[in-house]
Amino acid sequence: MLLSSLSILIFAPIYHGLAKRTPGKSHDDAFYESLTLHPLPDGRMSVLFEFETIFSSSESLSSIPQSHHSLTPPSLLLPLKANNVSELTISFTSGWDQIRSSSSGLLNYESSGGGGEIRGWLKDGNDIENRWNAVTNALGGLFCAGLGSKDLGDNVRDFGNIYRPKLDVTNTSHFLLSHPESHLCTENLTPFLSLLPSKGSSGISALLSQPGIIFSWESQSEGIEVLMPSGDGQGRWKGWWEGVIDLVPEKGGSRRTSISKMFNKKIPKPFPEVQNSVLRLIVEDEGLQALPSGLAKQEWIDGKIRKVLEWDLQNSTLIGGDIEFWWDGEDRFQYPRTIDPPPITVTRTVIDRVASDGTFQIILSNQDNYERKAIYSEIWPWWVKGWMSEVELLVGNEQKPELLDNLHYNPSTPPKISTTTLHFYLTIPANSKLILKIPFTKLTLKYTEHRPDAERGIEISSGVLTLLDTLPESQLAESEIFNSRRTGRKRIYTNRLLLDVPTPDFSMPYNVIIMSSTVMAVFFGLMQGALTRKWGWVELPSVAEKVVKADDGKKSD
Amino acid sequence: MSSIDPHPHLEIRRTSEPAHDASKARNKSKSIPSEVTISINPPNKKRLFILFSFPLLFLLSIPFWWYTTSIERLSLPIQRIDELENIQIPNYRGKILFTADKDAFPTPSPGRAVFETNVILKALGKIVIEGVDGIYERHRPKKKRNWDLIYEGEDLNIEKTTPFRVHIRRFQYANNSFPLEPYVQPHETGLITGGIKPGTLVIPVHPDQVGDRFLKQHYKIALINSILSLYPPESPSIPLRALKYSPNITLSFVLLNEDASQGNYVRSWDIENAIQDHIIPHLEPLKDIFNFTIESQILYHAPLTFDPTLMKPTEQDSDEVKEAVEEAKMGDENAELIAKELIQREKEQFWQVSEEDMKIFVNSEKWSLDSGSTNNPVLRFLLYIPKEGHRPMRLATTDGAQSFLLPQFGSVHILNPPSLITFNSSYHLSIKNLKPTFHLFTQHLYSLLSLPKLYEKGKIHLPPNSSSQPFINKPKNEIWQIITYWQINQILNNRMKENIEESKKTLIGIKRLLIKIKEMKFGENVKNKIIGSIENLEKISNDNSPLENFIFSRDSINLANQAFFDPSMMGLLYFPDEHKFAIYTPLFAPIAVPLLIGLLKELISWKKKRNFKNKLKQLELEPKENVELDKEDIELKITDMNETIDPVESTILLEPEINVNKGRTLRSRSKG
Repeated sequence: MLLSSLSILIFAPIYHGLAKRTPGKSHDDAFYESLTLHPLPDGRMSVLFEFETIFSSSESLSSIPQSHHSLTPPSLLLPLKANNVSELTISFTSGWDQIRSSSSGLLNYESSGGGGEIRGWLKDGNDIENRWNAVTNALGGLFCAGLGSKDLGDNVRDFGNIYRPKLDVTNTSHFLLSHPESHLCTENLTPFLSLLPSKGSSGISALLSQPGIIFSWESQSEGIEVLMPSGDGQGRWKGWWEGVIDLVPEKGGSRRTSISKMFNKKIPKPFPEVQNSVLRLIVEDEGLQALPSGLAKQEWIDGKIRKVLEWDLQNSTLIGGDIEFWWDGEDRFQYPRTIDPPPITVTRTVIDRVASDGTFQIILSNQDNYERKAIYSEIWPWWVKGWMSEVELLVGNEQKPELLDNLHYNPSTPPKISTTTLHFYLTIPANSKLILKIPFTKLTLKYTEHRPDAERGIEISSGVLTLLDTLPESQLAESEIFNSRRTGRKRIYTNRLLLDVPTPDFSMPYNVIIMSSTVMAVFFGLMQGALTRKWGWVELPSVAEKVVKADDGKKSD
Repeated sequence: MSSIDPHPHLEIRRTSEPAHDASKARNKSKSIPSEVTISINPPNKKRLFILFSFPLLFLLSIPFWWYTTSIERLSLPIQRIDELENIQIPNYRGKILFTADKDAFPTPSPGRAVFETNVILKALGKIVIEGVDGIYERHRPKKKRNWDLIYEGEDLNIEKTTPFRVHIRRFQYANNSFPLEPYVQPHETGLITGGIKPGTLVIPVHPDQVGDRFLKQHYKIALINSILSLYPPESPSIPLRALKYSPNITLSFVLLNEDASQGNYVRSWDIENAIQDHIIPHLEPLKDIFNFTIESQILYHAPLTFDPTLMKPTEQDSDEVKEAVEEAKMGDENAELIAKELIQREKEQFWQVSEEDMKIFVNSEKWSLDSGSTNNPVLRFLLYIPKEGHRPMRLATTDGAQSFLLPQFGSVHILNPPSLITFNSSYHLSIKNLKPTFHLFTQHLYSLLSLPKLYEKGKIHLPPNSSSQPFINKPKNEIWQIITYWQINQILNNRMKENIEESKKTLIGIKRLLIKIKEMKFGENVKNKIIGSIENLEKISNDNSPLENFIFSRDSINLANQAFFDPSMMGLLYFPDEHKFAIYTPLFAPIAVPLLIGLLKELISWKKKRNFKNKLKQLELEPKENVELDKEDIELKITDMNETIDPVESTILLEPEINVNKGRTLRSRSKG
């Protein structure tokens, strides 16, 4: 009692300016957040939450290992540190339509294709595979989703060229583990929010912490990317959540909306430690208006100069208020007749679907007037066996094998469970559709390898098209307003694919037991009968003697 | 097949009767039917052998089936586990080196014999030992002294290594009134040091006291009390609030702001220095026993699950205030501050956390209090800052304490920062601000780890202030001094005892489990762990040092736990018997039917033959023609039987005559 009451007297407050906060001396960590709204041509709107924390190494020199955190979540960083991870990305994505959105992918460039994916760079050293397993298992617990590999062979090691390291750290190895069957579900939101310093209670995370609203959105993507600090350098971890809202009411009408309409909440109080909290609206057509109006900017986003309106959500006049968005003179939203396709699209389907065989048909279409260089990569489970000699490259109906510059093929190595990976180094000609056909056979899965819902089929990871000729976004060339090469989006994903697999009758073991037992029993009875049966003479009755002539010597029974 | 034929005997009769008639009519050559029958059928013996070979095969295959379906169960060293009951908790006999300053004893008056210090000490030591033994003797249950006093010059080796030391020191800063106030020598820094090893029990004597007549008595009392306190004969058992022993422990320090977005929150704290100053010194001496890891974090949003109640200020001054005011009047400066503070407190309203609410104070669901990156047990030390609208927040404790301990979980301290006029400003907690909090945390750490406290009222005191020693600058309280070897010795003994008990319990548990669950797998791996655990326990003896014994006990419990939680013990082979029957019956039931019926038939026919034989004996003189006879019935296992039946047989053998090819039909009558 004495101590605590005395403590009040010696309390020393530090005054902090109201408008601008500078990071204190005690920690150099900084937290940024932004909410980006991007109306899509088909009357929907992309919503992207981004939270970024810059931090320095939390280690301190002492006889007892210590780590101190202020804005960073120890539950995320400590397992990574313990396992010597240099970079790590986890993402869950469900559903995205390239054609309807007029964009080759999600607003956040790091989001993977369908399903879950965990990938990262680990510093080389002993038992690197075990460390990778430890990381995936530890973070799986954090995300309420199994991220660990079912088998060591599920880990893909040759995607380092596709996901290049962002940190300048040498002696690292790349790991990738794809979980195409994973879904983004309500259980993922709470752990995601608990990683944020604002915990979903203040700042824009308060808008996100409403599972009822968030999970009614159409397609969703969640992810984190951690770059661990090396030496005295700074680390960075970024979390994002993206979804698509339908703005047009069910009965039709205008797309008029507002923050409170979308989130059922007014603009929340800012998180006090935030450096920067902004709301961004990407304006694609001039009719879009907002009130109160934000700061207009020109920004190069995904191959185009776009107008962006920005609001500082720490501004006290906005807190507790609302921002409205509408299109001038729009009474009723007219669905556009055509939607501009994105410059590059990739679709993958399976044609001639029979139970045991199929052909992947990958259509890469380039809308631009110049050819593009790219790598198309696939990850197959061991039971998909491609017929590599029968791979075809077509433009229209014409065979164009010269468009394949190179092919890296890592087949799975039975009997160990391992993945097959393929990297096609392609040239996609200008204004054309390149069709890649890969015939394959589905091998029979073992009885125990089937999932509980075996009849449903098994998902295959998204294919990845890695563009090799992209230019950085930040360089604003004066004469240009449009250049699809100038984008941060280096990878375009196909959707994941559901392959139906031949399934056995799962009541089989009992049937087999009973069937074979019956056969055994019948056989046994026969044999025993035959071996122990006794044969003897039986005289036919004398009356039958006349008949005897007819069926002379016949045996009966 | 034979079972399809409902009345084989009947048929035979029908067919055989006309044969009799025919036999009279035509009588002819060729091979007679009985011969044919014999020729086409295997001998009866062989048939029986075939018949019995099936059940025999089943019987022979039972061991094989047993072997392939049984669970690996090695023999458990039950004997050795049972013998563990008798394992004595070793009692290490410490050697306490007893020394004194030369001038700590009065110089004898001239003319009297001058004794060496050592001789005086030995005499004093003898009295002390007698005194201690006397106390233990009277104690119920009886206890035994587990230390010996040694003196300088006896055994240099022990003298140098023993960590237990007692020293009588002539000290000008000591209290100059009796009783003497023994203390434990702290680490000294600076140029001038007392030259006494840290951790030595010091009986300080003021130069003025040296001449006292009863000095010897005072020495004796001080020595007995202090040694009894520092070296208890047996350590108390680990209380429930403390963590069970685990070699790795994580300490998580968390600063929680109830709601930082309401302003006036704590944005940073000098945690690294606070831990370095307050926690590390206490943890470092424990490095042989525990491996600690420390993590800390700041939470900016830590909502409570309940609403604290708003308490209105009371009109009257409470006793507490009166007391403090009284004391303040006496001139105690500290008390004056406290009185002021208390009066201030009485006048303002506050938010109370009731005792019920304290139980649900920690909102584990919303607060992420540790990283969970290891499986180590975690002790959480929470510094809670209520939001502006909940200040000041107080706990409804009787003594006004603003912190509470959660058994085996950690501790909570509530800190109410003063209100600031500016909205949205924040605090930094400097190491000075954190001092009271970390004193509480350290005390709670002692409780949660069951570390014995050094100071005991009236027995071990704080070191006296001395200007020559720089440590006076530190405010002295009960936990400022780091852990001494006296305490470590107690911890080692305590934890060893706990580990031995736990290990024994676990081993006996495994034994019981294995005996009870017959289907539990007990493989080589688990067996080795159990044997390792037993061996470690058996190695514990009085000859080892406390640390060695502790390490044996630690390894033993570790192995025992590994064995207990070994996944191989939980095999997947726990099929209920019904399940096994369900799998086996489809095969065994259909096979068993022909087998059993075959055997049954054989039995019946054998009985029949025996009856027939009896009848024959009766009919020996006048055999009737119409007695139904079956050839096979007559064929008995015993050969001499055949001879007795001969006459009867001959009657039948006459039956088939004419046209073997035409009139006869080969019919099978099976035995099953």
